[in-house]
Amino acid sequence: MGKDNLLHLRNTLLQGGVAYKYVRRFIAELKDHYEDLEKDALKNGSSKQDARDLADNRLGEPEFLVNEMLARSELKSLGYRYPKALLVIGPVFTVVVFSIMLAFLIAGVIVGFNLVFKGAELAEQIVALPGWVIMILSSIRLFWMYLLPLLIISMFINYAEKNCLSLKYYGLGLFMACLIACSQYVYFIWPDPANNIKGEFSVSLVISELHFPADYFLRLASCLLLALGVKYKISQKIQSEFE
Amino acid sequence: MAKTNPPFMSGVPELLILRLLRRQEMYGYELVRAVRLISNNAFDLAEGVVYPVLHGLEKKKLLKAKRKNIEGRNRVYYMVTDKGKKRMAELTGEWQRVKRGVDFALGEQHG
Repeated sequence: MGKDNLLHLRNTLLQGGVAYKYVRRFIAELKDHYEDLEKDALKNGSSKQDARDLADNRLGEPEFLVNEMLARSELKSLGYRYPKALLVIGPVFTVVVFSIMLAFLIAGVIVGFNLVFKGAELAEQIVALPGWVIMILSSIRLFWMYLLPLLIISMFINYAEKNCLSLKYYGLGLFMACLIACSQYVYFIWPDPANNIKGEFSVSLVISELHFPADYFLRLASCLLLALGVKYKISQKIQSEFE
Repeated sequence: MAKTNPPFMSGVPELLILRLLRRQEMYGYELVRAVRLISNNAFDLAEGVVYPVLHGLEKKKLLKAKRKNIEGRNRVYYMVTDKGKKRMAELTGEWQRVKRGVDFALGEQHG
């Protein structure tokens, strides 16, 4: 089974909605199977051409194999079965879920610090946060504001590209996710006992206030550029898997 | 509840595969050779169709797949799960029922 046949098989299966995971494995297994058939035929004294013909014949017509895979609905990708739900609502939902998780993580770090290091009886007392706690909280903030949008975009483009899903489905969802993820601003006011400042943690969504700081557009542009880069890189990678 | 009658041949590839993998894990090519051997070459099918069946069974959690590197080749080995063993018992029962029915019908015709 030649490279052209395998590529055709792969494209037809992905366009027919079979999940990338199964397509990739199916192609690899067919390739191995073909090699085994050819090797056994050569061992039994067939010429190279006869061995190839026999392997082709025993493996089955590519169209027939495609139909067998397509007939199995359980192998279809979620994006194919529920494209709108997964790719339009999915990215926005993921941004919201991640943000809530990160907010809990920050609250957890602060509460944990108060309980373990300050003691419950001192919880009302203002104590300056040590450097390492500030470092952890600042890292979460940086991740939340600058890396989270990139991570979510990469994740969804990776999924959509691998499963040959149309940009018309996931483009809108990703754009909305970018708008929301980039519009999240996380602020800390560190506790300061000298000035009697208790400390504060807040998250604001600038898109809801229609007030955009200068770096908002920079963040949004970098997300969209990254999206194009990831899309190109993944399509190259998938292509090279069959070469 | 009334029993539904499954199509005669549906479940046969699954039954053979589950039966063969019940004792020993195998990869696709090995499995096809084993099917040919135990069925005395009765099934002349395109060998590539074994993979959609294997993937379907894995998706239904009747089989487990594991990658193994043997003699420089990375192969996917399949093995039966507990759920797969139960399914095999069901399919065996169904098949025996169908077989008894067909044997009886053929016996009536020839008798």
